[in-house]
Amino acid sequence: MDLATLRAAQPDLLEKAAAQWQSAAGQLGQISHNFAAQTEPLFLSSWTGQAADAANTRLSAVSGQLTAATADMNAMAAVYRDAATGISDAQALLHTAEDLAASNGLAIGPGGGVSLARPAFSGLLGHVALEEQALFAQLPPAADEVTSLVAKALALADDVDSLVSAQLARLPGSASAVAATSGLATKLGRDLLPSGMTPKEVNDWWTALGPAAQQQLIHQFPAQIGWMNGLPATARDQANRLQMSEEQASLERQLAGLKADEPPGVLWEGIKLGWVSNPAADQWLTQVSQIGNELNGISVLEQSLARGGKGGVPQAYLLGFSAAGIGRAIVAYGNPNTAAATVTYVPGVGSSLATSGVDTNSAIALWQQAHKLDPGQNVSSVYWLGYNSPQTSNIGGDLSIVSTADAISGAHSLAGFQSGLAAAHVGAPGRTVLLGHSYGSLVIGEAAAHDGVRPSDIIVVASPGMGVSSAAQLGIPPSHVWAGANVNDPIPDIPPNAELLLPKVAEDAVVGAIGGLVTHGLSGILPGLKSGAVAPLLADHAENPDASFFGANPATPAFGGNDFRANYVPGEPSSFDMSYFLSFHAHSTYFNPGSASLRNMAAIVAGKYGQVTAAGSDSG
Amino acid sequence: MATAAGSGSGLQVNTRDLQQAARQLTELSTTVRELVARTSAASAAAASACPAWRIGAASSAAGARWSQAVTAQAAEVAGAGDRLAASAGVYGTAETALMQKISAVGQLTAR
Repeated sequence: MDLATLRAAQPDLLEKAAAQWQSAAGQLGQISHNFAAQTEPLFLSSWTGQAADAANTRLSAVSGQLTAATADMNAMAAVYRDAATGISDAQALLHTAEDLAASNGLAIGPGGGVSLARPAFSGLLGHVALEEQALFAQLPPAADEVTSLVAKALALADDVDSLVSAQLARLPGSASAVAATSGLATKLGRDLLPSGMTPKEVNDWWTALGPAAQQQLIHQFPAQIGWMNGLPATARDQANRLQMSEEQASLERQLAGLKADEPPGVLWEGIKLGWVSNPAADQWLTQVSQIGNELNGISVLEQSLARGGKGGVPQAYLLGFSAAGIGRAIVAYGNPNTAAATVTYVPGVGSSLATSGVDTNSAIALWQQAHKLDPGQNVSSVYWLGYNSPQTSNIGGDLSIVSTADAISGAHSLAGFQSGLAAAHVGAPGRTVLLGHSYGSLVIGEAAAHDGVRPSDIIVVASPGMGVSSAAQLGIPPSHVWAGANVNDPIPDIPPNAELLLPKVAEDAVVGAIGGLVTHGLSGILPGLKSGAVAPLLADHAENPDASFFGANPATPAFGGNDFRANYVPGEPSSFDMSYFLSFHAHSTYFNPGSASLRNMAAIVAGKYGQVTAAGSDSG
Repeated sequence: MATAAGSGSGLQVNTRDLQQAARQLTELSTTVRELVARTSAASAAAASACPAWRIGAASSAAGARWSQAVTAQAAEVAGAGDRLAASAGVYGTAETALMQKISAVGQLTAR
């Protein structure tokens, strides 16, 4: 691969080719569906005998060929999409190198060599040429970075070229191979989805399948493929988007059906009872509301995905999706399979599919800040709502908000996801960073302390504790554990057993009260919980300043990690104020553009540890 | 509905279903040929996007293999359609003959 070849490639044409194959596949898929439906009556009749058997065999074969051909076409589309993305990434790296070279008076030669840009009068006079040689021997420091970026761009282009051409060569495209794939599809439906495999084994299995069979599986089992740890991000993305589209269509059909059959709100129960409310109407309303919420969640997620691939935001990959319950969404900005650094951001209490817009914005803000720090580094920023985040809707009686149960089960899922990322990574392993906000930090603490997750770095912000008493218990060197807390964020300062210190303001309200305290976004003010009521919390915090609700406060020197600079949020009460535990705006500002916390998190993600400013420092 | 004798078993088929399936196969064959033309153009465009890359050559080769294989399948499908249409014709003739015989038997019985 040389620079001219890389520059001359036109990934937009590959995108168009992918779209054409995809469109043709959609058409053939529809024909295949219609064909099966319209030939079915022939075999539902009582036609029997040799001719009937022969016709049945032939038409079934045609049906199988149609399915296999559709899978082939989807595979071609996917391969061309991969090629377009890979070539665009390589060209972007080269553009970064060229910009850096131009701003430092450097030139990149046709073979990738870097030299000082030659002035126009070069070589006119012998003595000038000699001086010039001496001058050119002294390249500025940026030359090394330019050289490295060019090498990375060419290496990536080479990888893409060999990978994609190998995939194209493996596509069946012959009658016997297509038939074989059709036979494979039958097998796939029965037992080919693996169970009990490690993510690495899953990745090996997937690679061995070949593109056509992969496409067949994606279309046949999108819900399962979308969550399969170890599969490439492109495959999971395609499966999850299909699944999302199918669930959306199904929910819309259900909603239309319900709306067409709305029960009356009241029923006439005779002269004695008169009009009474109709229980079926309440149930109907609950169902309509639930489906409406799920559709709203999908709509929010679609908007988050649409931000990828434009306006300085890298391509978005949907690595996990479900609309059920509070919903699930895992969205990567930038491909984690090829990234040099991947940060997985675990959100806290109250997160759901419907709130994923705010949290994906945070993931994007983090990517943009990291990219600003190191444009040549390929970073993937992942928003991970892969667990049952405790909700605040039933705050009066819901114990989950003060329990570690959701964090423990979430930690298992997070561990699987991280192993999957490692198994699907192409080339040398990249750096991995786990970032938890609020309750998300407890999920990460559990994953590191008990599930063997070993990221390169752990970052927590606004943490109410990680379930451990020190950084040394997290399984990685404490020098790679980072914590930040806004100066006036009360969540990290909530003492252990805080519920015992609070007044009982209503039935079950001890739970409700502490629930209010660990709920971000809620004002935290519950009926009867006035400023004086939290005085015991202030007193306990003053006595044990390093303690936090789920163990120790990571953003203290006693924890043993790095306590980095976060923010002071103007207008919010401080720990010397009686209303400290009653206002929570400072709990939700860590990803604000321009904030010290965002700059420091991005520096850690980019591996620029020297640029992280410590808590209490004036700079940064 | 036609009833024919063969190999000692009663054979029943709705000739309209047969004709419908035959038409489906013929239409399918035509549509697949159209799709092949569209996807061949897409592969050629992809090859021109990066002619000096291995992807370019692989794209051309994959497109050609695909076209050849699917065009052959389309021809087979059309052939199957023709055979089903011919079968529908045979069953239709048998049906007509059978109906004539039934009618004749009916007339004899009426006498």
